[in-house]
Formats: sequence, structure tokens, C-alpha cells
Amino acid sequence: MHTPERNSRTALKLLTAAVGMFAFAVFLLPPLYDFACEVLGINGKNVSTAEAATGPIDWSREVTVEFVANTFEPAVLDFRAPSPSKIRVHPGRLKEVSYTARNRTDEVLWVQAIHSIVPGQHGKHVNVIECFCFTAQKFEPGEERKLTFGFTISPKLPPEQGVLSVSYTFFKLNNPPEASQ
Amino acid sequence: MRRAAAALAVLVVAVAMPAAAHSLKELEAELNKRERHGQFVGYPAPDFRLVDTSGQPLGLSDLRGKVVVLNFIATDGKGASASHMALLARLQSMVKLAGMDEAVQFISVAIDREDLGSVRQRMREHGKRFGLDGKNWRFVSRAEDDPADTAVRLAHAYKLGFSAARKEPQMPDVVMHVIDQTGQLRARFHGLKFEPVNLVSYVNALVNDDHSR
Repeated sequence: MHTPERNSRTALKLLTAAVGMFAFAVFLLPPLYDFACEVLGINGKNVSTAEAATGPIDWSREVTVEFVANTFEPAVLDFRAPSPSKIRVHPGRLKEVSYTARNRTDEVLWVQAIHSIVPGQHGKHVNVIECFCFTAQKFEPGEERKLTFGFTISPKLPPEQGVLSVSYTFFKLNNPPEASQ
Repeated sequence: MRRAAAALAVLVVAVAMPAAAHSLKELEAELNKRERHGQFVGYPAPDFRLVDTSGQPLGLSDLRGKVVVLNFIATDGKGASASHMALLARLQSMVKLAGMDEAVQFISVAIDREDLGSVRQRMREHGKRFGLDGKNWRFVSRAEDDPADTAVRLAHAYKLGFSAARKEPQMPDVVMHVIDQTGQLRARFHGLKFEPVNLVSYVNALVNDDHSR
């Protein structure tokens, strides 16, 4: 049998814990979340310049990376490169950019992208962290979607190579996954 | 506080970050699941020494450093020849759109046994009819001095079957062979129903994964 005094102490402890949790959620969690998003460039926070250390960063130089978007039929799929289409990045630093694709037809569209690095011999120096290629993509009629490309440039990229081009090309699928099921 | 947040960020990175995406092996595993017309192998592609429509010799070993897409065809225009060449032309245009035309060479081997003059004439007509770009596509056949069945024996070396129901010239199976930059036969895409994007994706992975450089 608990005494009223003991019950009061328990209630006070519970209230203190609840206030503490509330304070953590309201005052501490948002800046913590923002910091993580800023560092990682996720959830729309600073997407175009998202950066995070993923290894040694070469602060002594920058590499220009150009983004190119190609599509099998511009009248069917509007596919646009990130804006700006050219950025400068320190080797070793994570960057994320977003391509944009829109189904311009009134029918469901199944497409798939492939990506290329130019010059090709330096493709091995582009570490792909997030990519939308090699996967069948379904677009509802009129649907527009952001497609993220996350990458780092290896510090092993030869110093004389100052420019790289990243190209994505979308193709329409002959045999959409839904049709083959 | 900032140190704790950084530790949390590192933890999130470790959990969320994939390894370098879509290596060649990963793509092969994926295509094994979803492309039932694809077959992934790995052995030296049989070499050859043939000549193109202008009489220039061409061997597989001349193409080291490039991904080769190779097919065999009878030029008599019967059977699946037209569809086969149309598919090849589509693949070539896709490779070009993806900016890989410098890295990929298409080779069509004429298996016909009849006189070379007629065969070469039809080979040239095929190129025009299907809009194949001579920049990275060459049509080859046996040389003047070669035995009439040279290309047929080469097709057998590539383990192609031939339609038994047809009279001469026989039709080889429709197969697109993908050979890597070191001369290894890496994949065979059978028939006309495979997904062209899958072949181009595979070629793209070979180009991106080039260890011959």
C-alpha cells in the first residue's frame, strides 16, 4: 500500500521525466537533426552542396564536375541535369545533386537509366554513393520526380585531370516489370 | 554536444551509405534475376581473322580495349535476319546516345557460303537499310582464300546452333555476344525478346569497369 507522500514523489518524477523528454524533443532534437542533415545533405537540407567527410579530403584543389542528361525521346520524358550543371568539388568530399525527370505523356511510363563518366578512364575515380541507374523507374502520367546522384571524387584522381563529366541517359523499357509478372 | 552530434552523423553515414554502387558483379546478379534471355559466362572468345566489305582484314584481337558486341547473320534476308539487324541498329543508337560509341565496337559476321561478291553487296545494303553507323559497326565475312564454311565454323566455336529445318543458307541462332576489353566472352543475349536496356547497361558496366586500361 503506497502512502500519499510516496505517490506524490512518483508523480513528480514522472512529470520531471516527461518535461525532460519534451524539452529534448523541442529544443535539442531539431538542431541535432539539422546538423545531421546539413552534414549529410539529406532531406532537402542544402542538397546542392551536401558535403560530408567520407575519407581524406584534398583541400588543395578542386575538380570541376559537369552533369549531362540525355533521354531517348524528349517529347516523352523531360529529363534535366541538375542546376547548376557544373560544380567544383574537393576530392574526397561527398556531393549530392538532383536530376529532374517528368513524364510528359498521359500514360504510365517505364524507363531505366545508365550513367557514364567522361573521360572513361577516370570512371574508377568517381565513387558512386547514390544513383538511380540500372533500376526500372515507373512514372505515372505527368509525374515529375527528383533523382539523386551522390558521389565523391577520389583524391587519387590525377592532378592534371581538372574536369569530369557525369552523364545519365534514360531509355524506355520494352518489357516493363509489371508486364512480365 | 557537437561531438555527440558528429558521432551520430558518422553512425548514420555508416548505416545508410551503400558500397560503391552497381559493380559489374552486382549488375550480373541483378540481370540473372530479371533478364531470362541473358546468359553470363566468362571465357576467352574464339578469335577470328575475317575481312570487311572493303576487303580490310579484321580480327578480334585487333579490338582489345573496346567492348565488342558480336552477332552472326545470314544475309539472304530470310527468317529473323531483318529483325535481328533492326535490333542491332537499335542497340547501336542506344550506345551512341549514352556516349559510349568510342568504347564499343559492333561486329556482324556473315555466315553465307556463296560467292563473296553477292554477300558483300548484300552486307552493304544491310548497313544502309537498317541505318547502321559505320563509325563503330563493321560487317565481316570470310576472305577470298578462306574455305566457304569459315564463318559457319566460327559460329560453331561460339556455340551457336543452326536451324535444322531450313535449307542452305542456314540461319544461325539469334544471339548477341558481349566481349570485354580483354577478349573475354562475358555475356550472351539470346533471341529478339531480351530487354535492350539490359544489354546496354551491361555494356556500360563493362566500359565503367574497364581493367584493361
